[in-house]
Amino acid sequence: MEGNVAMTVALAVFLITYAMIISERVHRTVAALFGAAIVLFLRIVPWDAVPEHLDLDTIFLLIGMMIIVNTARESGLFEYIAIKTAKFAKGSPMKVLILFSVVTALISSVLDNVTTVLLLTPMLLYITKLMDVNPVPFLLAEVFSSNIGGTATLIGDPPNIMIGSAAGLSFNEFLFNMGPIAVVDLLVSLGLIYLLYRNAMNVSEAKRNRILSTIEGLSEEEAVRDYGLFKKSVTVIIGVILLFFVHDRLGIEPAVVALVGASTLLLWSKMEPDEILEKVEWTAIFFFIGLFILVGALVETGVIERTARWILGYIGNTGEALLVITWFSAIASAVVDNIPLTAAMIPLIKAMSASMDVYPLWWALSLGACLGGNGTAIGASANVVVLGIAAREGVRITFMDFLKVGMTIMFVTVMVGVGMLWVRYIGV
Amino acid sequence: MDIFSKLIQRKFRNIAGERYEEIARRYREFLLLPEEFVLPEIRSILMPVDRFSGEIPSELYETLSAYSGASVTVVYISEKRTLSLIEQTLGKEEAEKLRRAKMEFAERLSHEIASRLEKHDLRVETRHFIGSKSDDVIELAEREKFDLLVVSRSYGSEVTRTCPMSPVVLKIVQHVKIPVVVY
Repeated sequence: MEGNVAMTVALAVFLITYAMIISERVHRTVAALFGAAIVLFLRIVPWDAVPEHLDLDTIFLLIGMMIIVNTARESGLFEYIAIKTAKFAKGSPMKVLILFSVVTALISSVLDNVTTVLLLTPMLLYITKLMDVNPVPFLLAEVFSSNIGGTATLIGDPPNIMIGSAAGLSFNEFLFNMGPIAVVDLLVSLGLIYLLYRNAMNVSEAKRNRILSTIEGLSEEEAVRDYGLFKKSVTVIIGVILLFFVHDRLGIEPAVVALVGASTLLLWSKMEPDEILEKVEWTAIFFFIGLFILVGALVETGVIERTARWILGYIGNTGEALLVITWFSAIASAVVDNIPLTAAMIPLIKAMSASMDVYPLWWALSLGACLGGNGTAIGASANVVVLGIAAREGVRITFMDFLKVGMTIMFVTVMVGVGMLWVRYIGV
Repeated sequence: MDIFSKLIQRKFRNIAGERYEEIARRYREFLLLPEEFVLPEIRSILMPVDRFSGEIPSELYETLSAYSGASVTVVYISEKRTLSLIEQTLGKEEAEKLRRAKMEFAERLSHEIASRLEKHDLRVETRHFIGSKSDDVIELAEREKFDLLVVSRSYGSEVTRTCPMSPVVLKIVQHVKIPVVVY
């Protein structure tokens, strides 16, 4: 196929796939695989070049962490944490808001956001029912905390995994650069939620005592289905996190850390591998495979290089690029899935590396891609999951309800993040 | 805005539909539903017992002590079909002997249970008669408007590993409309 024709076809397939992913008429994995199949069939991406485009670090890191999370889930670990958190809150709406947000952010920073909110939201809804308060601020805080928490580390959110792998960034670099932003943003978002919904935070003393006695009656031990597995899961998770802190010093890839943790847990727990492996979200893994090939088509045909050159025509330095990449990825992530967006942005930033220092731009991309998801109800998977659960439990949060608060949170938190990156890398 | 609600629901199904069902089911195992926060008022309890029921666990007495002041009707029903079968095969005299033995056993068992229940401030009435272990319990629960039925899972027949609840209890549970405690 001729150069320009191949470029047009690759771009068209990419955009059509994007449209299919946004509409969700077709499952995003099917859309990505179909797009990948077309570019492979037309030899836009030669078969020999496929391994170059498949980011195995990302794929194996995801698989390893999914195995660990799914094994830990079987033990009842997350339900245990949810009940403990509820007990610590002692029936105070304000404490429920703060504690659940902090716990969600912490778990999301090391495990995947969807699993975190899937397991904590039912408990949060249960407590708001007990407190007889409007559950909306609590659910929104849960969403925002999950997305903010995911920003903090290399393994917190898929875009960070992809960025870390592509740019060779370590766990500690992520924690050092994104951790402080996540902490400040979490405080800011909690403050905003409180300001917007402070009337929903009142519960009479008598009601609080009744709530307290019901919550005290819950037994976190009852939530634990397998104590042996529970202890092994906690040990392995802690071990994996500690290994992440030193992976760069040991010279091992983050994916290897996750795979070591996963295989250790499988071996130690003596659980049936079939049972655990079938719970790995293979649809997500194949979604990534499809996307890597699709973006590979843009790289092969020179679309990425041309776009980078076009952007560089307008951007003169790293400071301008930092602003453009952050805001573009934030606004785009609010509408489009942040995974394909990051997949497309990574080669673009790589292509810009010849003209400027792109190191701060990786953080800009991480910031925009992770926090942009807070903007709309469909911006991130965690948003969809919390809203979906809420709808099933009879709590209606409309797209517009979410948009009003989400956009405010997104703009404020991204602005704070950009400010912190600017001070660190560009200077005042 | 309906388009967005549908879109969110579609996305939710794709991302987490089945996983959520499984998680919600697990949470339901140990979280009380809002309607369960209010304890129903229990004034009368029906408690069928027989020789299969076995010893009543002390936890059950403790649970029933929450309804102090309520009346408990301990019922011992000798299965009519068993007695007629004995009469047909072994004769009237043997059947009568068995009936008397059953009634004596019923008297002893009911007295034992009644004295334990009375210690927990419950009023106890005992009844012994010949009839159907399942149909008569169902009818009694309905006719006399009991608030709660308390029955052993082995009432009516012995339980096995493959069948942890007797068929008689299964039939009763399926037909009564009042809350049931199976111990």
